Amino acid sequence: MSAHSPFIFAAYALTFLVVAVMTGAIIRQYYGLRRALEKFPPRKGGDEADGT
Amino acid sequence: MWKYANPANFLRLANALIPWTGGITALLLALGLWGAFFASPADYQQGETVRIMYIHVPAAWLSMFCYGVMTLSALGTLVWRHPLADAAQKAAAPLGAAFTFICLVTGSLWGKPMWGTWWVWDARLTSVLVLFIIYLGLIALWQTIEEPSQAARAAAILTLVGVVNLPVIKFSVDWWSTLHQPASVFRLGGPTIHASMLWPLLVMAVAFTLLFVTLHLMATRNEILRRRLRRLSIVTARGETPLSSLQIVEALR
Repeated sequence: MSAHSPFIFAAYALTFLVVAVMTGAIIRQYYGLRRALEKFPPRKGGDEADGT
Repeated sequence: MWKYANPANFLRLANALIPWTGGITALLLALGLWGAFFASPADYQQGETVRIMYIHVPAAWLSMFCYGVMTLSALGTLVWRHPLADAAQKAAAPLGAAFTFICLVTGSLWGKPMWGTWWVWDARLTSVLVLFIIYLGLIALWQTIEEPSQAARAAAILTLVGVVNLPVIKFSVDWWSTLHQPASVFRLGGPTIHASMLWPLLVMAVAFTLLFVTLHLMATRNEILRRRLRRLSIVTARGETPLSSLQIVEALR
């Protein structure tokens, strides 16, 4: 345990937090979009017809 | 390559790749963290604080790499008007902002014990701060303009204007007298870092790059689905509306 340990801990904790929040937000968005899209009737051509 | 640039093909490819890139990222992060904390020695000058470098340096590289990806996507938007390029560009901006934020804050946390200050208006630090502001500006631009194709063109132009900052960041330590140290890995004479410290740094750099690839695939997939939802909502709004506007707004967040 060095005198600089709090700085090292803070740097890694912050990095973990930012990555976790970013990943969580993207996953949450994905399932939200999937749920919303499921409420539309399936398209005749399936995914192939998608011209987005 | 153009075959996979079709949004439907991209979705299939992304769904297949994401578990693999995510899994390899987790393994490499575990190996890199083990190397950073247990296999590499403390620096003779910096002491244990050098361990911050194993996240600061990869985050700094990724902040610029992400902007490079956005620049290529911007060219795809302006030159080829490809919808996947718009989606890739929009998806990359928050990731770039996050990596730049990590770079700035971890650099500051290293700077306080090593330089005795949290921040200096040094050319390298200032140019990275400018990069962070450009990312925030691009995110704001996407949020402000409602029509996706207009937003994509405006963001692409701003991205191409902002790319001038990348060489400034890279060469700032050579062009000006800065407190920030010069390049110690990618330099003509080879790396100046001892092998025991270099390998964890490189493993962490590859892990961060794969983390970006995974998150970018996921975020681009979200953007394609968001546009599909937007299009379907507009089409069905003319007839029977399967979704309430509240549900659509919730899903678009």
